Amino acid sequence: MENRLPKIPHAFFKWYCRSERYEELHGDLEEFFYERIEKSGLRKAQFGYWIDVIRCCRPYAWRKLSSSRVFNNGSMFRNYFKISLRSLAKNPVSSFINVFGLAVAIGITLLVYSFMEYDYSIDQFHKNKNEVYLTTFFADRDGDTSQYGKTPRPLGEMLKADFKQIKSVCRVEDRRVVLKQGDNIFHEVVRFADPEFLQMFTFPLQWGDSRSLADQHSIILNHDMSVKYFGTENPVGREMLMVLNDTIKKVFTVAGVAERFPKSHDIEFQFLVNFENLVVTDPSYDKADWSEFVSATLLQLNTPDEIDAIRSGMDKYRKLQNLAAPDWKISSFAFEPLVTLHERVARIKDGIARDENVEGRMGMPIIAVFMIVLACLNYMNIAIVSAARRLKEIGIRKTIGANRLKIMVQFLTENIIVTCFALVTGIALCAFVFMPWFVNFSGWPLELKLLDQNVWIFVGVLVFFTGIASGIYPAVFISKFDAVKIFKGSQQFGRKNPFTKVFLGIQLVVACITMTCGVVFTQNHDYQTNRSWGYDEETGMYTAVPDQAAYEKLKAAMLRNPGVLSVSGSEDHIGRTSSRTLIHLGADRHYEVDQFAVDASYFETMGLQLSEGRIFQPYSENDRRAVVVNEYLVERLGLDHPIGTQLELDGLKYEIIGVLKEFHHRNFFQQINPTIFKLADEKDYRFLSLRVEQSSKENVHAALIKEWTSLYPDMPFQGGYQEDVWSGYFFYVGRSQTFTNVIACIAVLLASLGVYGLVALNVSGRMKEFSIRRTLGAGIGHIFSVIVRQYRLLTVTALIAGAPLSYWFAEAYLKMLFAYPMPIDYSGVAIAMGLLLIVLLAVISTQLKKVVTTNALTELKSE
Amino acid sequence: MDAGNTSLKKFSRIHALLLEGSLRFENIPVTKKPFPQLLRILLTIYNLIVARTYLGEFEELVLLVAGVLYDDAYAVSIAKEIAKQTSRSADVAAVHKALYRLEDKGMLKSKLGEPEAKRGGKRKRLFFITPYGKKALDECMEVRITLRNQIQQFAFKTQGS
Repeated sequence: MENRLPKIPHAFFKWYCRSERYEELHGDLEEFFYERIEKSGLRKAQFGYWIDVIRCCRPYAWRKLSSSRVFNNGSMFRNYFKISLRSLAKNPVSSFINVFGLAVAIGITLLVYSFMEYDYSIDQFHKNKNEVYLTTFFADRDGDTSQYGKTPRPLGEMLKADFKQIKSVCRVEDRRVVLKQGDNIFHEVVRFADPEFLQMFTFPLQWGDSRSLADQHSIILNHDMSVKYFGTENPVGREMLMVLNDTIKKVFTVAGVAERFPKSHDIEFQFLVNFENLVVTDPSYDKADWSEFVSATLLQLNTPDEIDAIRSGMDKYRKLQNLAAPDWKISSFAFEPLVTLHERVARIKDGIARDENVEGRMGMPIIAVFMIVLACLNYMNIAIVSAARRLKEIGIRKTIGANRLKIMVQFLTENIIVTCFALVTGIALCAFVFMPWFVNFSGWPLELKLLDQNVWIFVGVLVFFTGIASGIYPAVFISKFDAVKIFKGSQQFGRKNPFTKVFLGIQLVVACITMTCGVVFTQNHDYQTNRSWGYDEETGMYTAVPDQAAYEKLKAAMLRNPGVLSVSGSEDHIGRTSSRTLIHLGADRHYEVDQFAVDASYFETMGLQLSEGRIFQPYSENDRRAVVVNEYLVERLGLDHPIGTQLELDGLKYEIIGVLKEFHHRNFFQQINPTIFKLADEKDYRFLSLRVEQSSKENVHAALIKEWTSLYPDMPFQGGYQEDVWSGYFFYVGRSQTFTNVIACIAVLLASLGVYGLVALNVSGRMKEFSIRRTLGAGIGHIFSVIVRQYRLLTVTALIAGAPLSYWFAEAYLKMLFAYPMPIDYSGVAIAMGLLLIVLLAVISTQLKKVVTTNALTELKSE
Repeated sequence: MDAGNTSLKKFSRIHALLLEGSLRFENIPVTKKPFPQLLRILLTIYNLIVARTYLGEFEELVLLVAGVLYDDAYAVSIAKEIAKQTSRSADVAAVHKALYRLEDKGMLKSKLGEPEAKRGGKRKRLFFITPYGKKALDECMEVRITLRNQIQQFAFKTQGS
């Protein structure tokens, strides 16, 4: 009877119907089917059956795919969870190594994530970031093409007049001035900008109105400056006095205070006043001069894609500029959108933005990857070796029907559990240990935004991938075991597994690289600290002075101090300021050089050394047409006999009379530039420099400040020890060093933990063997060599492979950061290797001690 | 009709159900796992309180017919009975669906019958109305009758004119 049922719908019904309801449901369908055969024949009945089967295909009849599985899997996973916890508790040492190692790695990765998140969100909070562009240009200097962030002065206004796509234009210029408010007097950097500045950069204001920038008497402060001058009260309406010198002053009214800037910002301001006020500070400022530059010209467009139209229309301005400044020809213009400005700012010279995160951006992801790799390798090794103890369990599971996939799932589950433990610990480590430490020493305002959902997505992906990456190999490896072989006892397990060795090898190599970096950075720090500055910075001292009168008064006062050896005046000062200028050699060769205008005694005061020729003679009118240059300039110009060579400067002929040995007037991150010294006009003196007795340094410094305050109670003192001019630079060098060292320590710790876990498991598995050896008379030396034999070849291979890699890596890293890196030699690598070997031996000897201190007989008697 | 009043009503409804014995926990399938058990109890309580208000029109019909057929209430017979008494064709899948839903809600309980040749030797699932099902039906009827009686006579007249 049943075979009259159409086969296809029946099979379909069987397929979708849940088994426990099949009987009752299909019974109903059959009842109808047979009735219909009687009533209206086979064909109609078959058709009706088709319809019924399709109609019944509804959730109540469906196989409970998900829910029935979840129910079974629930208990399965509960069992896995229990087993995981038990096996974690059974081997506390290796569990600790796994969890702690992964936790450290996850903590570091989260730190790196926060850093990258901070770095990529810089300046992204401005509402018009897509429409705002910085005007830049390319120019050839000394054969190199560079991109500059500044712009010819009239360009902004002309662009605005010529292109209707431009919504607004903003010029920006910074000036150092003295600001006075009541008793508060400070040197400050004031930003002169067009009123559109606050429309382009949408800094929210705490008080006041952003449109008030259009008023020429308004000044807008940032949060910190408001607190500095006015405390916490609302300063809107209060007055501030801008002092340029004894005669030029201007009163501004506070019209707004910006809210505290978001932490991830780059472009900022301290004080903001209308651009037109530049004429107050500098009456000769000519806005229409094509040969001069303004710090920045920003454009805001109606829509971002209109930039192409403007880009193609820039050629006429290039011609205008080239005509006005034939020495300083611009080769082309380019526009940098605000969105990506921060990423590209390192390549742009003289811009209003700056970039201090390069080293972090390059180094941090590498570090995070290293850490994760180390921790994963630890896990893999320990998991493979400790699987030996669970062979029976795996055998039983396989016998009672677990297939290979199930075993793999079990091991991966265990792994994810371990990773979750590690995650919790890692987040805690990051939030309470790494992050405060990192923020404290680096100065980067990072925070772990646990409320941000992106962090959790990242963490989820991280846990998943770490879990899978560290667990997949052990899972595949362990699940391969044959149950029968396990019970027969003939299953070989991971002790001689080649992969274990490869993993350990990679670990050693990574540890070697990080350790070498740590050692090399420490060496480099010493090297940079002790590197000769090329002049006598230790006994030097300087102060900025407002004018010649101040210089004369201060000089007279300081010369009375017995500790002062010499006093000089200058317009520029090494380590503080210099000017850029062009020199011409012959008709067609010109070079951009740094220029210092000094007096005749400056070289002696600063301890600059002459390699040939002579320095200026005091009070010599002839030497007003003479320059002293540095060796690098001679080299760049390719002069064989520099003394007597004529140079053209500002249209006048100068003669080289002396060549100075190399000295650094900027920090070691930056290359030495071609530099010239010429005599300064006495009325231009802006710096007073002193050479003092080493023993009376502090006295003279105190006396200098005292003199200054008695002479100028209204002006803040701006000077100090010469050796402090690069404090910022040494902060950066110290920062890299500390960070690399800590990372190296962590890496070595992780690697040694891995080795420890591996050796410990191995030794405990061979306890019987060692006991037999000992009862047969083997000494400590013999046992030691037996343990070491297993790792000897591996360690040597890893170190041989690691040495050149480490060398290369450390060298590349240093070169990336420093213009004058330490000449790297093999000592750094050798020290790192030595340390690593010591750590390895220490780890092995702890196990050796364990072997030697246990009673061999008890060990043999057990079981 | 404020919120407090409603929740009080709901609570007193559970109380009443417990008293009259229609909410009996032995009706709930028992497993030894405490967590799924708790879930089921919660689900049953939820069904009793919330889902019962959704006793649909067709479900009510199936419930009634199941009661009428008493000893021989299974999907095919119910479908035929509905077709006979209401002269509307009820497809078997709809009846299945209603039956299982009513069983989930606790208004019907079921057991498997004997194998029969006309069903290809397969057993059928017989359904019986529970006290709770009866109560639900009564409430439903009561509401309808009360409402029906509230309709003033002239309402029909105005309708007609």
